[in-house]
Amino acid sequence: MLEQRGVPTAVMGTFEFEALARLEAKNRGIETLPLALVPHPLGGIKDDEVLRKADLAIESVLKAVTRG
Amino acid sequence: MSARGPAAVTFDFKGALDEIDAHYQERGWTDGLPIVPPTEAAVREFLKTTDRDPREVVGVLPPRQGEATVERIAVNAVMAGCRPEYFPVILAGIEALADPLFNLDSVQATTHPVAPLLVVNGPIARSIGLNAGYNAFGQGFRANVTIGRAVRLVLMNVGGGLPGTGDRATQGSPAKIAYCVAENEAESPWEPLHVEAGLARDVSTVTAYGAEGPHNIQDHYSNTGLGVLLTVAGAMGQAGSNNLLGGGCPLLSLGPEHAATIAKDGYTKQKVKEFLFEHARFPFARLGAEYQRYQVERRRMVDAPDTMVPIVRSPADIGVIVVGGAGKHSAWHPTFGDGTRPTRRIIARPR
Repeated sequence: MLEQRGVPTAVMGTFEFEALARLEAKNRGIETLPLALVPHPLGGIKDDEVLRKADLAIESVLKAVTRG
Repeated sequence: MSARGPAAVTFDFKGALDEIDAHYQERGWTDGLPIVPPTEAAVREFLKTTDRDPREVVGVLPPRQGEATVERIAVNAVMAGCRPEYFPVILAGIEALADPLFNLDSVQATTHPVAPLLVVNGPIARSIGLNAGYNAFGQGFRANVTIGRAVRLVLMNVGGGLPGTGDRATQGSPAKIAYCVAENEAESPWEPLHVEAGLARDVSTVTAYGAEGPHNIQDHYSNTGLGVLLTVAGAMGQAGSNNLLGGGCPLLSLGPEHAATIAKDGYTKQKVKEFLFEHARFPFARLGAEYQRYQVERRRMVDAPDTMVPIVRSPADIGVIVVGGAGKHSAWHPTFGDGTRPTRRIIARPR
């Protein structure tokens, strides 16, 4: 929704839900919505693992929000 | 919604009933149960019960963003085994589910076992044979079971809520097969749900909750309102529900006997809600460390030995209805938490 208002957006999630995220983006007409994906899961993980996954995602988040 | 959507696809099929069913099963157009063939003649009988244009879009349903037209809803209602006179309830139900406040996007796709519970109030419940008494959430009544099933088929076939793709429920729930009930207005000591909302008793409504299956509350021993309410509060203030996590609007279905015991001691529905707001809580100290941190950071709970975590933000967020036959059982329905709100639509009188 933010993306459709012109705000560059990165959707964060895990590879487990990649197909769902792409399906929903496509059905809403925003097929090119950038996804910042990390290995599953995001819930129930310890702080050091959160930081490790944030490191993995940071490049794609920056790339998404500094587009155009 | 007044936009016109596409006409339902029709096709010719020659074969016996089991071959027709196999055709639907192979294409994934069912919930797993056999379907009733949605012939054009059968669908026409449903369309006769409403003044609405068959192509009118009743709601756009995620995750597929499928246009739920009157006609497509009728097709699924036939498949579910409904009778034509149920159709106005289903139309109103789909409208309620498509209301942005209900948040069908998340309800369809989430890992949580949330199901669309339709609570029907008003005279239509009795006229179409919706069960509000013994075993109301169970088997045995065509209207309850097939209206619930029709809603599920629409969510799958139009909305694309298919297990493993558009519906990512970790375990799901039997409530996701069919979940429709009427309030037992005749045996309620209080105003029914729609009257509480300011509508006349002779208006029929459907109220949609994004809810888990009913969680039983047994109390054969209390003979005071306070006693029953303490048991109810104890059941509702449990760890693990989305409501304890972040609030929302859980529903309490009191059995008529529990409701009578509570009302006899002077509790109005409002007082019941106020009591439950205060007492349906879980001790902060008994939560795990990460859960405590979430409550402190996200819900501003105080990290203190006597903190009790509420399941709602205010008494008004608790729904109370009366359902069932004789016996000392009630149920509460944890909901999808703050990810959904109950929505309501008036059911049009059948044409």
